[in-house]
Amino acid sequence: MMLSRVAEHFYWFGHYIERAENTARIILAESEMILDVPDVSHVRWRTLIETCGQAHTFDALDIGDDEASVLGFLLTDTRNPGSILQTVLFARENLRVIRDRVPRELSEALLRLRDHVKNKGAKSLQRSAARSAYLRGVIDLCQMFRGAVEGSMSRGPEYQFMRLGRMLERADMTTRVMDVRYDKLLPDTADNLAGLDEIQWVSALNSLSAFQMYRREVRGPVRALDVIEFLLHNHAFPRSLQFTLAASRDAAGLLPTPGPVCKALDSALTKIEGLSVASLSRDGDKLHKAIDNLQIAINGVHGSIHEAYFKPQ
Amino acid sequence: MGVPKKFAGLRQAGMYDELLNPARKNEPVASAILKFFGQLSPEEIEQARQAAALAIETMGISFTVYSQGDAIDRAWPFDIIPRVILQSEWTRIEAGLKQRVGALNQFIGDIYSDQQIVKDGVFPEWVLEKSVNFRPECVGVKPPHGVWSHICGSDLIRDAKGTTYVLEDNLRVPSGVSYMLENRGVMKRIFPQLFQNRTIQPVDAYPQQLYSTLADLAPGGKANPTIAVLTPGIYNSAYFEHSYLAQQMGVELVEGPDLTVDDKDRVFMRTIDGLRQVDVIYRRIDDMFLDPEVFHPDSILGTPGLMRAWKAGKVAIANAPGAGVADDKVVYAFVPDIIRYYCNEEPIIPNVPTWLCADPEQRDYVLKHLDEVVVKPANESGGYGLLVGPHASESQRKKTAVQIRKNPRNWIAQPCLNLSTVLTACEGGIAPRHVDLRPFILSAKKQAVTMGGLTRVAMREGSLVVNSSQGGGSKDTWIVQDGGGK
Repeated sequence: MMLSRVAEHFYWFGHYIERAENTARIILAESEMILDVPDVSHVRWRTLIETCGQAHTFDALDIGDDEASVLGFLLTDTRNPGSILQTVLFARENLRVIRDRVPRELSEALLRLRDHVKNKGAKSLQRSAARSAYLRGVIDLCQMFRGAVEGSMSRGPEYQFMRLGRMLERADMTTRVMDVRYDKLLPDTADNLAGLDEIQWVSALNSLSAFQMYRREVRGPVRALDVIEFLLHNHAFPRSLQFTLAASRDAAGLLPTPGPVCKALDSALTKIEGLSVASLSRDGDKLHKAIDNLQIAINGVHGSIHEAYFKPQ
Repeated sequence: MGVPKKFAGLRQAGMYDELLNPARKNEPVASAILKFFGQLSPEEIEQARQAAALAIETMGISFTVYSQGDAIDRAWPFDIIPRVILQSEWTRIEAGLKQRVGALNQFIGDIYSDQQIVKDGVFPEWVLEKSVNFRPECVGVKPPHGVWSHICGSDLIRDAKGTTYVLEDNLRVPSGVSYMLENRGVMKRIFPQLFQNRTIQPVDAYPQQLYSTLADLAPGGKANPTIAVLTPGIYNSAYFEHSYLAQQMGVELVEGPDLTVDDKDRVFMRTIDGLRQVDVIYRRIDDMFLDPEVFHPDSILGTPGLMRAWKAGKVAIANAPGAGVADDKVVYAFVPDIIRYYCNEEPIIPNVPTWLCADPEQRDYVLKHLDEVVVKPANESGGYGLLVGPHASESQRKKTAVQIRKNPRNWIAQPCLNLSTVLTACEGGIAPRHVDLRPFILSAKKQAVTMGGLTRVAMREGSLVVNSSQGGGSKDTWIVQDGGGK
């Protein structure tokens, strides 16, 4: 027996932890990439906001898009529902509801993560060394949390809802990384410096911790279409769209009356498989449209989960 | 046997200490406890306090307080020195509590039907007319077994002479029982040796008894009914307890929006497998928030239609809506008469003498003696609005006097009793601190009383306020055989 509300809390719990970790990875990769860019005037910190899907909230606050403003917004600003601090606080609130259904280790790991992100002033994180240590700490503690989940949690509906939340959050992030990266690399950037293109795609892979795995699969220079192909279709890499949605399909299949959700996932998977990267070539519009379509499909999956399990009957 | 030299100086004239007084008469368990703590060095006591704090933290025992709009989980405050009550005394108290709650349940049922007690001139009508907890919506309802308050928490105190009184009856949604259960667990972890070779009555029958009490209420006597604990949610100060009790009983913890009532007045909860009918609800939400169709229309904590379902007998609600009519400090003053009226017996446990400010003569007395008495609002809980006359400032007393004159019905006063103490491990060493005791009484087909109850202790020197929301702590409570029998 599982209440719809409790199921929803597990689902969002999965989302929040994944989002905190992904946000940390993206900022870390971007910060490191920037060290390689010869002229920092080319750096657009705002890209990070777009990758995190928070442009709307950010613009409404009108706080300027320099480094300090952007990072403050993404790390510690509780007005940003996607900031690392706020996601962890959301997860903490969720834990109050689901605590009796999760192993104690998992609660403890989350409380450690909360302690790590709490009471960190935006100022103290402006120094890049401190920031980097902070972000690595977030990633480590999220990994520890996941270790507790994998190692000690029964594979009941609680686990499956959490996994669905995690995988869909991940899928979302991967689509946004492709989309935003591609946007910034279109050839019309006349002042584009030679080699910068490759640096940025390496950074894109890094932000999904995909660089090493990509290297093992694809040889030669890092090229946009190869990266897109890898992030869309690779069956083995755990952050590719193909993988995240197939894993979601597995999780959904283990829930009661899984029909509608599985159908939505099958349709999203069919779309991914049908997408030929070669045909997109370097036509930005085509790729944008294709990614838009995938995001619509992912939203459809989310909608079907909501409809099937969370919605007031 | 007796009181160790170390503690002999702690006995204060005109005070009753729950450990020192029995030990002076060579009561073996109190003597043994004093001996044990007397042998610990200050460092060892500090270590034990820290071990207890750590156990409480790892066991996740907490209560929630609010500070600047933030909900903060505070570790449950616990004192390491137990409080002892002899079995012979407890047997008498248990009987007294059953008698009292039995009479109160009859009273509530009478108030919502014929009001025979009013017609017979035993209980004055004016009390009901101005009662904020009388629910006209409940008139005519006949809950199963004639019981309205299925879970009652009555606060007991002992005065300087050693007499035990009932201070108040919490008939609505009393809390604290989870801490009673957890305190025993903590005590066993940090001082297992104290439990050896000694019969200390276990307390852990409560969750099962609570389950049986709730199951006995199922409509139509249904076997294996679906039971749910209804909580206002994670921001409630007692959320830990709601979650704990649901878990201990193996029932669902639901919030108002999890429930829905259909047009046949059946209650369902929303699950991932669809709707599932609920038979019994142990609600931890106040009446006024239960059902926006009937009470506060803007309450989002409750469920529309719940009262319909309850009145139609399709769901049982514990405690029954309206039970709070007897949870009024003005009604309290009449409880001895209520017991005599319904049971034809003398009350086993006395009431604390009470002045009703609604009565002009008694009000005059109270207003003239504000520096001697304790003044309480009739319908508050958690120690809010309380004035301890001798400890209050002149301006606090003036403020209360204004409020009494404005709405006399809403105020009662009692003599400032010297609450008994128990030696307590405080920051500056072991010292006596005032305590009370909240046992819980279950009523359905049968009655059951917790083995002892929750001992609450005012951690500040001289303070008489034991509520956790006001900085109070708690102790493990031992019911032991007379003569230390094994």
